[in-house]
Amino acid sequence: MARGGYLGEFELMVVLALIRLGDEAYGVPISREIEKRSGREVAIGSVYAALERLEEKGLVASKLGEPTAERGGRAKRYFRITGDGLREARQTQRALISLWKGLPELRGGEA
Amino acid sequence: MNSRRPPRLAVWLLRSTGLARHNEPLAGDLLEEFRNGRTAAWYWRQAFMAIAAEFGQSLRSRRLELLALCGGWAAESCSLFVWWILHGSFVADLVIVFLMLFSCGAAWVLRSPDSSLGGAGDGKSHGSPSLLILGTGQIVGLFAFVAQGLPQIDPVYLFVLHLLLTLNLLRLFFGVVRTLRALPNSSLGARNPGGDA
Repeated sequence: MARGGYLGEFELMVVLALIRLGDEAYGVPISREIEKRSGREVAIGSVYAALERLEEKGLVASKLGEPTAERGGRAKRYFRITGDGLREARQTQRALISLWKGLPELRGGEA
Repeated sequence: MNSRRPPRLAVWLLRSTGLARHNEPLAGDLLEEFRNGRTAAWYWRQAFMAIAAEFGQSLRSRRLELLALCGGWAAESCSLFVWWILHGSFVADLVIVFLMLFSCGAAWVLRSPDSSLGGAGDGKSHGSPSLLILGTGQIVGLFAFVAQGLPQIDPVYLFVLHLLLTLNLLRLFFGVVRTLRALPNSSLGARNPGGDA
């Protein structure tokens, strides 16, 4: 059992989007990915708040890119998942799958 | 390149809350998405939610201060109430006068850029002006309090005084905590921009 707590719902979504996007993960594609998969509008500010929390826990690392004119001269901040982040995601996955298993109410659904 | 401009008021809001400066990549992301065809309503929603998320984040990182504020407020309210019960009024409340002056002076001495409530936490000094306003407010209030002849105290005035005193005591507490925390690794060049990584 890990020392830290499990990832929250939104944090897990952000982590999974990060893993999917690889090296191109910054605020815009992350929020688009979550919107595409969940079908809900995502606040970019909430994505950054979640990423900051994850970075504090050492599950995510970031670096600044080059400023571009289309962004008003502001740089992109690229995020990537760390080894600890991957471990945490796997652990959350295992816990959720084990909770999911054998629930008659959820059998046959799309989820 | 698309040069659409986002709603000015929303941009001003992001700037004035310090978010555009504190989190430049976020401001850049909002602009990029807006120029990629998002609506002004989307920009407004995102601006509000970004400010709310930032506020939530800053509250989370200032749990100690919030705890101190609540604890300090409760303790002070109780002590003032007990004083009122015992003496029937707040007249000649030397303890309050002493605490006000002491907390003003001590908070001023111990002021720290990061200790300002509502400061951006970016290492720049935001504490002094607000501290000065608080301190001046207290001292002016104190003179007014003494000048009007002590017995008639306006409850609203007392409430404001109480609030100012609590804030200054909180600053004092905060300054002491930060000073104590800094002690083990204190050195003359305490701030190392390169960090310890």
